[in-house]
Amino acid sequence: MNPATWLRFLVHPAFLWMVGQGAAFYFFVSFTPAPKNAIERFALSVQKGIHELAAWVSSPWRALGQVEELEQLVAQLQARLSSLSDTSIAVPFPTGGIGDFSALAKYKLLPAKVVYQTLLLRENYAILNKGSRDGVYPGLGVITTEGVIGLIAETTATYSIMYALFHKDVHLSATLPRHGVIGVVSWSSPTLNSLTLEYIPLYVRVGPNEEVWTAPNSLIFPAGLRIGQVRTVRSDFTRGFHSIEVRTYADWSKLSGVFILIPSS
Amino acid sequence: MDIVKVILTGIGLLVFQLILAPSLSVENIAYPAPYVLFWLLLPFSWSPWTVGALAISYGALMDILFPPHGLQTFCGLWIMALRKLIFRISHPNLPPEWELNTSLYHLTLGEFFLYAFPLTLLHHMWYFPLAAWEVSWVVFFRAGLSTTYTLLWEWIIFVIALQQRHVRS
Repeated sequence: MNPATWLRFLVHPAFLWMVGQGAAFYFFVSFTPAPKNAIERFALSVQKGIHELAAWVSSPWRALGQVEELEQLVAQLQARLSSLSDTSIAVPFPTGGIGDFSALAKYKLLPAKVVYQTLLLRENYAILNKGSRDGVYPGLGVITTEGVIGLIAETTATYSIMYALFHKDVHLSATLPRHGVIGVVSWSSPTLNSLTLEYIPLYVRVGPNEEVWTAPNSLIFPAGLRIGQVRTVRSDFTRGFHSIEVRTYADWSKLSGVFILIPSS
Repeated sequence: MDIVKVILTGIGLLVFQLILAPSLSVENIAYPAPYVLFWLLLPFSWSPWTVGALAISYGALMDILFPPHGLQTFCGLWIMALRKLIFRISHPNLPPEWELNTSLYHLTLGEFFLYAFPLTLLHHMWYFPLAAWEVSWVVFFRAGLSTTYTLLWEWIIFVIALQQRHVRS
């Protein structure tokens, strides 16, 4: 547009009317608190909306950047981890296998891996990757994160043989903590993860789902470790005791890591 | 002479608004604002520049005297912009060059009502919600009542002081 056209446009009454209206409204907004505040709030909400939109649009790229940072962090941690010895690695505590925490006051837990195990024998056992060099010796108890699983029968310098609860010669002193009575669990049935608790007197009213723990008179385990849960109760009036089927918490078919209980003293 | 009459009308309306209007207002219901009459009675025959300058000057003067500042000019300029349109709607058979031959001081009362009411209503519908910064039925109801009340006073002022009956046959 040439200057004359611009001038005609600028002096047009409609344009001047709009300028006058704009100026008047500007003064109104500037000198009156309510519209001033409202317009500021509106401007802030618009600004917030723009920021949120920008954040939403850029979120995939930011997420990718974070993934990259995390990958670098993981790589760094893995590099540091690989330089540490096994004994300094933090070990999960088998809280699920403990009924009474005071039971472990005089024991330390040595984590071990199962390198071999039998499944279909009457004398089931497992081979653990810890031996006498690690302070393991025959007669120690072994638990998983869920509950009691067996005891150490033999050791070499670097390996141990653990007899499972599902071994026909393993008999363990157990108690029903609700009643305080003591019995013996053994694997008399051929079913894995299922034991029989015997020598519980008939006068004890045992119900299903009751806890079964290791007994205080056990020479292998401290008292208060969880063995399993009562499944069915069969009263043997000829012998005067209950014969109780116990479902073990530890699952022999899903065994991987275990903890060997070593007395501290 | 027209310019003298317009200026005197403006001064008279200003004085009325300053002195009498506060006493005539009905609290929270209706507020008279007959100063709107100034914008209504600016002659059509004058150039847009003259009318615009006068309208803005009068609005600015009202803004200085009455808060909220800027709102009087804002609402008054709407009247200035739309008054010809409203007049033509209320007078559909206007001849060519009607602007030069029309004197607003010669309107009959009916014509005055048809011309002044929509513009006063427009002014108040802008003014009251903006001044209160609220959009509600109460505000619009108050604006409607104030329009009626303002129109009454415009009518009285127009008839007593401004209307020139003897010229019109």
